[in-house]
Amino acid sequence: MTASVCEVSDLTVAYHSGTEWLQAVRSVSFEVRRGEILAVVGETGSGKSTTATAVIRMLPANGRVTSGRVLFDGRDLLTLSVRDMRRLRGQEIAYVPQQPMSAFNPTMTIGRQVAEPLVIHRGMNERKAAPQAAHRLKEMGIHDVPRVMHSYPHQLSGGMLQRAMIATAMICQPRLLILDEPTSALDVTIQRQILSLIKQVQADYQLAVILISHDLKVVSEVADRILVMYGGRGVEVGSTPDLMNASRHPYTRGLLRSTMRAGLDHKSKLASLAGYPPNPHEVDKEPGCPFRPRCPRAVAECAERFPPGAFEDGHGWACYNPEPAS
Amino acid sequence: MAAPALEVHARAFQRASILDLARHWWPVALIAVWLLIVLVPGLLAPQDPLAVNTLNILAPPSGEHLFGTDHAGRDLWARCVWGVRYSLGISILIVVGAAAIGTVIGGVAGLFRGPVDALLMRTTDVFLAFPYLILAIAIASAVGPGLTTVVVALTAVWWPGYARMVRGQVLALKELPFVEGARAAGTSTLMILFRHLLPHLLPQLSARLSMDVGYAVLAMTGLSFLGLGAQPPTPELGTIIADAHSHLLSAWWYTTLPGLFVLAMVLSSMVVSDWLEARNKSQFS
Amino acid sequence: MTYYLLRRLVGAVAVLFGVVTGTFVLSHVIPSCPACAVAGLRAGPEQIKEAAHSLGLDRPVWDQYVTYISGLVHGDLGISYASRQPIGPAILSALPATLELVFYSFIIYAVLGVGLGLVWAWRGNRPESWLIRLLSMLGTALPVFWFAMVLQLWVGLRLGWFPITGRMQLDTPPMITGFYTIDSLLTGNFHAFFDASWHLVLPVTALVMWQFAVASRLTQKSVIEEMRMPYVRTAIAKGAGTRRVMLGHVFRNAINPVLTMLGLQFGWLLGGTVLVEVVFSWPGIGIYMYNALQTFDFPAIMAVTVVITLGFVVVNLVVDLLYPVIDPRIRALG
Repeated sequence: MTASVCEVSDLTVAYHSGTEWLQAVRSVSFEVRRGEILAVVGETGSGKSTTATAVIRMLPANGRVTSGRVLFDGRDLLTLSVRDMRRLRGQEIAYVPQQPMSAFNPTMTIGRQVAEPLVIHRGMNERKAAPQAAHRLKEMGIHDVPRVMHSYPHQLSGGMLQRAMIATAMICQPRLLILDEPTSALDVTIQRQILSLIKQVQADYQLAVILISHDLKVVSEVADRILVMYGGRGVEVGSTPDLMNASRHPYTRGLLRSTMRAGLDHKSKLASLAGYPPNPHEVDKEPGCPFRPRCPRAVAECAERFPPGAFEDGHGWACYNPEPAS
Repeated sequence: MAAPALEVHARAFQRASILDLARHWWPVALIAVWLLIVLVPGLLAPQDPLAVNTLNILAPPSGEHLFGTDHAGRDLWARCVWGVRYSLGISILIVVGAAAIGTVIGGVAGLFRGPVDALLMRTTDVFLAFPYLILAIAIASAVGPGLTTVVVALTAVWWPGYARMVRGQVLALKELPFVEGARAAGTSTLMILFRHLLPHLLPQLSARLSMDVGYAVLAMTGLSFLGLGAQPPTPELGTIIADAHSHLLSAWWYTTLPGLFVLAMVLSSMVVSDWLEARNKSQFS
Repeated sequence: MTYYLLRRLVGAVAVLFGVVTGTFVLSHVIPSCPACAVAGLRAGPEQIKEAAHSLGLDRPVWDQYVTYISGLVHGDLGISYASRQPIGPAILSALPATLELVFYSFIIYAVLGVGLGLVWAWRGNRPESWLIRLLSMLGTALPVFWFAMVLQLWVGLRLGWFPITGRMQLDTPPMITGFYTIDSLLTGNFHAFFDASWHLVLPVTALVMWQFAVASRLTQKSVIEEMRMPYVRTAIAKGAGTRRVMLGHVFRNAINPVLTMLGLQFGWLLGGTVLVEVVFSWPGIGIYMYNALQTFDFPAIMAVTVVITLGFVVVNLVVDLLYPVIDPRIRALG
């Protein structure tokens, strides 16, 4: 087994909203190994993006990590000095934010933005960094590199920008790449291209990748392992085949059923996942399983305490009444 | 969905204003003190602001004359307090007048759109783009000096800002179901504006009004300083400061103290406006 | 791009035209009797009529308007009621004094306002932010003419640090640009340069104090707003430090609304300079306007209004031309 690049354990993140602290992520643990894509899947508000931003310590001003560790190379990122953390960002750990359209500075050319990490970390001036930026852009499948280099963000398509964003992330050859919903703002055909690009880059550089998404089906095509989150909790984790074919948590099952049948029958989607995603104000008070109100298999214990994790060959789930192994 | 939520907010605003009185007493107290000075200046300054005493000109501050006396031996404290009545009172008049005109014009333009709206926007463009002091000077000099002039000139340059703001708000609000409902029921346009839209505009309007009273005080004392406003011996603060300029060498209090009143008025208006705005924000978020 | 520029140009001309027409209409709608003023208090109807005729006031209003406009187009600002002299040359000779005052004030308050606004946004709730906030509140609330007088009295007279009236004590340097500071430098007369600069300190301080608050508050607001943009997070994710994020990314995007404001403020500065010039007996167009006000010399007042409008419109046009340079998105608008 290859060494884990990043190991998150017992991570809890809270946001200060007006008068109270609300926990957006509660005791989440996972690891990513070298040469592996870990997909973190969940609905809006499940805490998946918060988890990603907590790892690189870019939580909004009202967010705090209240407990847990994020080990990167054996060092806890959460206790690193600001300066040391800055040194890691963009160099060892790269982050691709949501929405490529707004993630670029509108008044700076793409070339300069792609080259920026080199300027920051390698002390290069912009002219010296430009050829490398061009090289990366080409590597990410952009053909008319000179034009793109001199373009401003509003002149390029979303797919093109996402390629440029990945080029930016890869320019310092990081070891961990975190992608926050990299395809959700894009057309379906472009989605495919970007996913296969991610897969290819990951394989070429033996990267560890954390891929945040709300779309279980889409990520299952590239991910090696999948972590499913619900209401700030990690509810199931396992290899992609395990999760797709032998998931044990009722939420994962529901998610699978809904995505598989969504195209066929609208009603069945409602049937398989009744109710709404949890309200953070309520889920925070919930001592038990956050999925309980929507769960078809809920039992009495579910309301009392969040279920402990059960593990079987690296496949784990947190449920008192799991679906039978098929 | 959105309309009832807004209704609730508008009501919450009215209800909260009574509750807040207790919690945020000081901005309310501030307003009360200034209004008291405007309404009954004699309470704070028993001396006659116009009583000339040639035997006691330019006397420094003392127990008898808190702020000293001016070049005609008049009590400066009394003149300043009465000056607040003129400067602040008339500024409030100007701003309220401008807001009323602007609200009607902007509201009508927003409700009707079309050429009326286009014309209004171009007109306000010119007004808003232009340094108001110069415009006010031009208008004031055409009308001839006096307090009426200041009112006319400043109202003329002030209303477009309100028209703009109200128009924008009305454009946003009129798409809401409750306005469409009122329209369908045959309510007249002005009725819609006053009965249905104005309550929603009030919170924003109040913060701006409060701020603008301060700016109006600055503008009107400025015009008076140039000799366009109140004429001596009327105790208006700009006029008092203008008079003081000739006595720069001999009476520091004459130059320095009246301005503090202006400063205090404007600062108060800013503080109250900030307070109102913060309150709006906490209620509308 | 051409369309954008054309629209701005038309807009500028429209503002100018609107103000000229507005003031003209005002001066002719209001029932005042400039001819009476010119003819003097003891003048009989005959003399008033004569005065009206010599001023062209007996012609139809539209005719006067056409004459006035065509005069303006040819650079003729009319004849002063008070002095019976052409106004243009008088304003032209007073203009450099005002421009020098406004120029230095503008530079200083733009740099100071934007710089302090940046620090304010950057520093969040720390003491320096509070200090800037306090200063900017004070600056906004100060009546500029009173503050000018206070400076004059306490810093000029009592402390004796700076001269309190006029532009210079020494002989004026030869006229090259009309800016005494620059002219004296050009002629190598350093004594004159220091003298001129010394005279500038108090009036410039008054104007800067009055205006910097607006610039700093707006910069702070704009910067704070930009700091919430997603691209800022991208920059942080690249490992950029605060300085790089602020100066390299945020500042350029935040500067557009600030520029607009600076353009508008230039106009306010021109307005405020009237007040400050009166206090400091600064021989510029402000004093000229003040004197015209005292004698109800309406053509002179109108002329100053027109000149100030022109300056204002030109500055704002320049600002409009700067936008596309700063923001590529506006360049693309076509």
